[in-house]
Amino acid sequence: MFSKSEKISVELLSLTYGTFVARLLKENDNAEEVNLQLHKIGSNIGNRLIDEFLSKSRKTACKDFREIADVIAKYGFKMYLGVTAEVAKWNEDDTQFSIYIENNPLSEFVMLPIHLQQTLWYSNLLCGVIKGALEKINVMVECEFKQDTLRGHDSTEIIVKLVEIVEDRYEDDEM
Amino acid sequence: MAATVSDGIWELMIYTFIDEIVNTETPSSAAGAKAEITKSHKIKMCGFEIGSKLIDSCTVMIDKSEKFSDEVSIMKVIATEFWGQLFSKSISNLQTNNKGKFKLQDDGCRLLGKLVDVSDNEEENRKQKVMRGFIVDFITGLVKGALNNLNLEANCSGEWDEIKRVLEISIEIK
Repeated sequence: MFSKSEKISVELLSLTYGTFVARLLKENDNAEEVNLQLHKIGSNIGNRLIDEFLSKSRKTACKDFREIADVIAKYGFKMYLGVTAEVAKWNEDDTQFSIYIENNPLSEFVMLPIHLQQTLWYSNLLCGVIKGALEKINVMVECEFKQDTLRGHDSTEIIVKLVEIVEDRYEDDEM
Repeated sequence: MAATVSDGIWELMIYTFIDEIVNTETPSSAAGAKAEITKSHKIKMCGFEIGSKLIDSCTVMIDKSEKFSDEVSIMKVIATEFWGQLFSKSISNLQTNNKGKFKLQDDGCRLLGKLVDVSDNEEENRKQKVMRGFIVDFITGLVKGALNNLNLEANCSGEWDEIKRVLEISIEIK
């Protein structure tokens, strides 16, 4: 069903992403709007990515939100970005966690101009991808950046917050 | 060896960003054809920028004086190293008339090959066809950008033969 994937360099990925982000910024002065656009584009990618991910990773259904978090960080980031991420800062009722990314390949060769440092979440695409992918398996989340080393923060942190897990009406059929 | 990632995310990134560029504009009905040209131009420009930067990483390891002494040598670098970076393979066929015209043919380009027709849904097939056109624009932009960085100004045009599944890029050095 899915052809074997080839490898490309992280540099090409980062270069491609950077060029498209620059194009969006050129068309739209408002960085907040571009953040939304990136989120939306990411969500489309996530929607299209999840089937391939499930078939390639041969993952069986996750039993809870904690396992989902682990799969995203350990397998998802590894498969698509070549890096692993850390899950941390769970809240008390296990509905919110943070993902820490050590070497974000999207922003590896990037420096933000000063006027964008307080407004643009350069890698906001990633939040969209997570949201879009989980949405397809009926896990509704909100996902946003908390920190980004591009903004001069100590680390790159994405917060994922569970909204609800929608019960499947016709069990297993989708999986 | 530089770090690598699966090309799946790269392809999806290209498809979805191009979708966004194509769809965010609100083409006024009067300027329909013009709007198509503008979109196509924007996508070519994205390709151009990526191509001109990417070629640098192909050329750092090459002895420039030897490899870039003439147009044919430059074109060979495009057909092998440059294409390899993008599509993990070389161009299938490179032809020239030795008067500044070149033809690159590539069998089953992955980026295009994945945009197959969905058999009986005409509307979907039409969308796929439009998308294939934009991807061809993107790829010709990549080539033009790479050549430009190597000081060759060229007209590039491309065509995808859906039946033979071959991408053909024609290059005319100015």
